Amino acid sequence: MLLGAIRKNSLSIYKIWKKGKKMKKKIMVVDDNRDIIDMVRDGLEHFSKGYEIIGAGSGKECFELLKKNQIPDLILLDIMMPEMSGWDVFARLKENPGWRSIPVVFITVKSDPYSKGFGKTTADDYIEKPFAIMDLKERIDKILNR
Amino acid sequence: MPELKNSEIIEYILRTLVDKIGRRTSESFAVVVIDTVMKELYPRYGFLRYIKVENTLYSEGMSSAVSVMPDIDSVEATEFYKAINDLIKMTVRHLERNADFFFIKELHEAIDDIDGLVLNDEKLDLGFMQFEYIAEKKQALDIKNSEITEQVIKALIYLTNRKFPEAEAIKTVDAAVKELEKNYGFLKNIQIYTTPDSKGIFEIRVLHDINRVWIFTMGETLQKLIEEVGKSVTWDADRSFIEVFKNELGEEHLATITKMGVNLDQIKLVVLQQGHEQVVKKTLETLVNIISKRTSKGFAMATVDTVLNTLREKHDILQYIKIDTSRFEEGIDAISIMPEINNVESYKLGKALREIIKISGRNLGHKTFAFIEEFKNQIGEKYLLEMEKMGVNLHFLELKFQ
Repeated sequence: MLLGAIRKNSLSIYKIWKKGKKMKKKIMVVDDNRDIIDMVRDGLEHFSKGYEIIGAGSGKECFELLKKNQIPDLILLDIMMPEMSGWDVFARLKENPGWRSIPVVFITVKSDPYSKGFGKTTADDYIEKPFAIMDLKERIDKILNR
Repeated sequence: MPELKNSEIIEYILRTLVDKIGRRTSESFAVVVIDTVMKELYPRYGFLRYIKVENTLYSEGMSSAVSVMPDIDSVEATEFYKAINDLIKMTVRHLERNADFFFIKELHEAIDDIDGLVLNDEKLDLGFMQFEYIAEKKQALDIKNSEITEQVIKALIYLTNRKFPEAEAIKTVDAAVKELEKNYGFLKNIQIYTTPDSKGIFEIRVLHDINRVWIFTMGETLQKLIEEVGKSVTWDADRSFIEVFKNELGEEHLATITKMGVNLDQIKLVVLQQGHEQVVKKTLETLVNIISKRTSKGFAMATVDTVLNTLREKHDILQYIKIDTSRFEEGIDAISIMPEINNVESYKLGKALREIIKISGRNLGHKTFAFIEEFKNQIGEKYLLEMEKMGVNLHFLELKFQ
């Protein structure tokens, strides 16, 4: 009987664990600064186990991952990157019907009113660096829970 | 070979005429033309009453269109051929543009091909008639491209000046010439001189090299130029652009450009249908330029797409603006504006345009004012006036944001 109860409990725990794993939200961070990717990973995972962070060091790497079917629930996108800027990455994402609906949040040091204004109008959010990880989490959750 | 009777000769000639004209227009039109000419010739050649040309093509076919009574056979040859000469010449004149340089030649060849019909060259010389016709046409077409082009440009500037200040009018026409120069290189021979303080005084110089261009090519170019200028301005449907242009150009020059193949009625249709389309295109183009200067072309397009999508439910007319979302990187070329937008009421379009501008700049904070100022400067006075007529008051929008 005891063995049966343990077995039943284990099954429930496994189900909850599996459900939790399934519900993990994939966040792709596209930034040429690897420290930012690590910081976001550490920060978000510290607050919650509900995120899975995918890092991409450039626009090119971002598209390679997407082509390999690594489709995230949200993309955090830096603007000032060499080769392909965040603006161009954004446009290319929106050109593709398979990626168009992925929410994009700009994370950038660009604080001029034009970048911020047009960024806010077009993307899902615009966050200036440096940012507090708690604030980032709240804004991500807000978009994901829409 | 026995000589053909008058009745046979005239029947052959008339049938050939009907055939040749019919190929250029329609057979029923051919019968109407010949019948009209015959009636005009009755007072001079009474015997032509023996001929009947009827428009019975639909019911009985070609063969019954021409019937000749044998009474005509007794007419004296000189008088008979004189009538045929006049008949052909007048028919060609009636045909106007439908008779080209080759009409008489073709007629001549077709008549030569008729078995047994040997025309008396001394009395009816179609070869000479062809020569006369070409000489007459050439004289009529003795047009100097440089002179007529100068007149057309002047008329276009005066015409545009009725809507915009002189400097803007000159700029509009000059821009249209430059745009066409991409396809018609010889337009580089046109120079419009003006200085910033000229207060509307301008000088047009058309270099003589342009006279080497075939007049019909020049005609085609002038047609496009008038069209281009017309399209860059919104003209009220009730106050025809073409009527004003005709007045500015004057009858003599008007006749010349008509000879060169310029079809003003066609331009009228094109121009009146393009007003709204142009304003929308220019508005979106200006927004894309301003946004892409700070971001990228593709992102600017994505922004305009987002703005339009935000407003689509509220403004039905935006269904006539399509953006190919797979071609953001191509910029403004990815936007297509359907001609149906020209039929929309101006105030409705104005409302939509105002909101497009407002939403595009809504997150710019203290820079919104500067954004609208930049928009005004870039789009230019001409389009601002057009937008104002649609009820778009950008000054008011600026005040609201201030």
